Amino acid sequence: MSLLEGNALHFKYDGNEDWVINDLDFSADPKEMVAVIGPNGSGKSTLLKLLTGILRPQRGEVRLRGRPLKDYSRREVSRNMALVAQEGMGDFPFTVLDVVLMGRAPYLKGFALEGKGDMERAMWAVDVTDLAKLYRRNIQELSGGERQRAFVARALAQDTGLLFLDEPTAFLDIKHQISLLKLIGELNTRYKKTIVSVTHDINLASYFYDRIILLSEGKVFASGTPEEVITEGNMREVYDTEITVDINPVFKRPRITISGGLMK
Amino acid sequence: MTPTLPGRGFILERKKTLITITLLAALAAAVGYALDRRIVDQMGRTITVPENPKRIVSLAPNITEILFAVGAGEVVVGVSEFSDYPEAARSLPKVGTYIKPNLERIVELSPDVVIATADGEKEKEIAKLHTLGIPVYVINPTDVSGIITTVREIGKLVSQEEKAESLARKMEERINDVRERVKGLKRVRVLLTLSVEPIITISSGTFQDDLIKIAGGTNIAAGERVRYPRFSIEEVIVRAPEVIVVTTMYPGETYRRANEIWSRFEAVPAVAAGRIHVINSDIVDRPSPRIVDGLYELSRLLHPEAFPEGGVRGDADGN
Amino acid sequence: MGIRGRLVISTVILLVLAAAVAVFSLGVGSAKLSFAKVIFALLDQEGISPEVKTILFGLRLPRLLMGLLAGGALALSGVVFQALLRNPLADPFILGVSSGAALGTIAVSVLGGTVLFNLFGMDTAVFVKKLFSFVGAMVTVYIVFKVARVKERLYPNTMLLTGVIVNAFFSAGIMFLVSISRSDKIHGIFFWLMGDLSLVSYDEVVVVLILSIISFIAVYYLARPMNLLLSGEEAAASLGVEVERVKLFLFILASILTASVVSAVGVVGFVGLVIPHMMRMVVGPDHRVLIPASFLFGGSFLALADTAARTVVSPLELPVGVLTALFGAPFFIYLLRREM
Repeated sequence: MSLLEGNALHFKYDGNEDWVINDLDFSADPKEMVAVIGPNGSGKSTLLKLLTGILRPQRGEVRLRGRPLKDYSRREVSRNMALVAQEGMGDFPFTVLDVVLMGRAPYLKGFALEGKGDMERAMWAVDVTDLAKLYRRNIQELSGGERQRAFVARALAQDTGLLFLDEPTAFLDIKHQISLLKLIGELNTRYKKTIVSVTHDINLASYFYDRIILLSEGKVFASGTPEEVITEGNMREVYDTEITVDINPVFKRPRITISGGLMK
Repeated sequence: MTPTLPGRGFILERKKTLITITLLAALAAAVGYALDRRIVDQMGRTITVPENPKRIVSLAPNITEILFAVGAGEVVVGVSEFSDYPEAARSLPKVGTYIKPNLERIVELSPDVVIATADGEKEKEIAKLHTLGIPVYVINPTDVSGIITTVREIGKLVSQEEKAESLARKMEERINDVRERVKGLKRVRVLLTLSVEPIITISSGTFQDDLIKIAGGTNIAAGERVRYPRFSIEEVIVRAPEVIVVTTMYPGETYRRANEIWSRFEAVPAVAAGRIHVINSDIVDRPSPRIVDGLYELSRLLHPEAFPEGGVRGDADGN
Repeated sequence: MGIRGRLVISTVILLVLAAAVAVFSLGVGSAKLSFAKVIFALLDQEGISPEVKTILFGLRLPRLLMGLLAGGALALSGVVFQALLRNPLADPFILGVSSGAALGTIAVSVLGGTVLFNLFGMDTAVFVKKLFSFVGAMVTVYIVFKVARVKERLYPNTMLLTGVIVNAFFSAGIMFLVSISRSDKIHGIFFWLMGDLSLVSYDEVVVVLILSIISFIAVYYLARPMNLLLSGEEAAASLGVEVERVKLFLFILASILTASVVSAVGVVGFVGLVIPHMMRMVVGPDHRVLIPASFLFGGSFLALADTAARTVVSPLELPVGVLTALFGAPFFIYLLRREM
């Protein structure tokens, strides 16, 4: 039994005719590092939302530890799974620490205020995401990348076994991309978290993740190790582009180079 | 008489006086209590008022006029703004406007009874005064005879029945005089408007409409569903009034403006005949004893032939 | 400063402010009562003249209590709508509650009015008007709910748009009724449209008190979810919030609270919009501190504005909505500038 399973998932948004997720199966075992890749519109972000229970599939079901997700309360779900996604903090001036502390919400009921344990968890999260100098600042004042790290910290404060990340490296500069990837790696090896990331960056997925799932048009096109999935044939079919695949000498994993029509 | 020392004798002498005073006071209280009357006002509400109210607050200018006219002017302790007639009323303490009475001021004056009109949406204020223990007598005259009835009722309320009755009779006499004068004369079509621009006139069910009827006229706005209909000039042309009367607080200015604005509309018979008149709104829009003056004015404007002596002003206020 | 600290300090300061406003308001007016006299009167009702007693307990006290409660309730609703719609420009009337309530009461006035008064007496007429204003308000709420709720999801943007349209439509209805009515009714309507605390009874005070207490506790219980909602509905869901349930509950609660206040005192603008902002600038956006602070300050603010409304042009009275706007706008601009 996997930790998290999705069986024959079908999903479409209200008012749409087409299935965004079209008969998709998914599984993640404890301590796995899974990357979900695929072209725009293949359903990657939607898949994350289905797996974390934010959206409900019209057909099929998601199971956490063998139990259907809908049998859990939202609270229980959020103690097991955390999601880092793109979002704004709007026009409300919360500090970074406020935002990170929100990650403790699943553990606090009603009128309860954060306790010492909550504070410690939050400060740990602030620390590992390199926000120690920024945590008193207003989140509206931060750059896109810094904000991203704050949301990662919030997810960490949630202290879950499963961590989902939607394009986590999107706004980060190289330095912070590396440190985030290192962090994710540590969360997996040291803190034993199961990681599922959606990413556009096929190479990063290849170098850092154990298993790749390649989505196409709402279905799983290929699933397996980077070597198995990242092949010229798969890339051509799914991305409809000429791509060269070789092995990255540093990471010893498949590496893509986009050649299609760009060579002068 | 042997002088007695102050002490027992002192008190003994005064004992009688004391007892008499106490008895008299008790009697007065009992009488006062027994003399509280239960009265029904014009809205069908039953209220309890003392027999001879000594402190009355008026919440509308016409009520103030009636009170003074029936001889109760001395016991009026507070009036609404714009209570400007008679002259003596102007110096009385003001208790807010006719639309929005100031409850604190009213309470401070400790009235025995407050008299108010039914219009102006004052139900809440009246209810509030009721919970504060202040009785409110509400009047609602809708035509001229209603005004006369109100005079009699207020007279009863303030224990001035005789004066009120004589005033009422005088008013009835003068009204009958007007009726006689215009009897048999062809009715004149009238537009009575409360303002020059826009034209706001009165429909049936108002006492201005009643005035027109008694004065031998036909209200061109009678029968309209809305009480104060707004007419366009076009509408006025269609209804062809023979006389236009504007009620106003500023006769001179209004007269000029009215002529300025309407002189182009020769299609209206009243304009062509030069029969655009102004009337002081205090005597036409206010349901008070002076309404009879208003009636005279109006009939004279409609049927000048019946009033060879020209403008007549009677002592409608009982002075 | 930690949240506990902010909560305690702000609550204490604002309670003291409310008490000061209360005593001040009770002393001021046509009959001037000094601070000491007010305290004596409150403690020992026997030692004062009947007129003063009536003024104090019959007129000023219910007004003050209603001012504190209505101000608090409106500010509380404002906080809720701003969180619910994720929009700092939201106020309790943005979804049409005010125009619905106004239409309800004006419809009764214009179409029923003196008939009611004649048939059933004054108290019934007043009661019916208030009832219809509540009904009118809830009709607009229902419309917004029906339009913006699709498949068990409540869409904030749709709510906003629907509210704007409902407001426009009902306001047109009001203008229509006003134009066909007797001209002398317009004044009363005008007063109500700008707020009027002058005639509140203790019954109404009790009703609003009970509703305010219940609402305050319920909303405070949801303070953390409200914080989370501001990050976005999906983020809130991933943090354990039952988003749709919370949104629906907040929507209904704040609407009922606003509808009741409007039925009792008319449309008092500005409080629901500006007080939450002012408090956010002072105590921060965390709802666990913002909610009590807004409630308390909103109450003091409205009570003070009402006192000014009945004293500045005495014996005439201004509608309290005029005062809230006159006070509120410059003060708010001052705070805004200080922030920048």
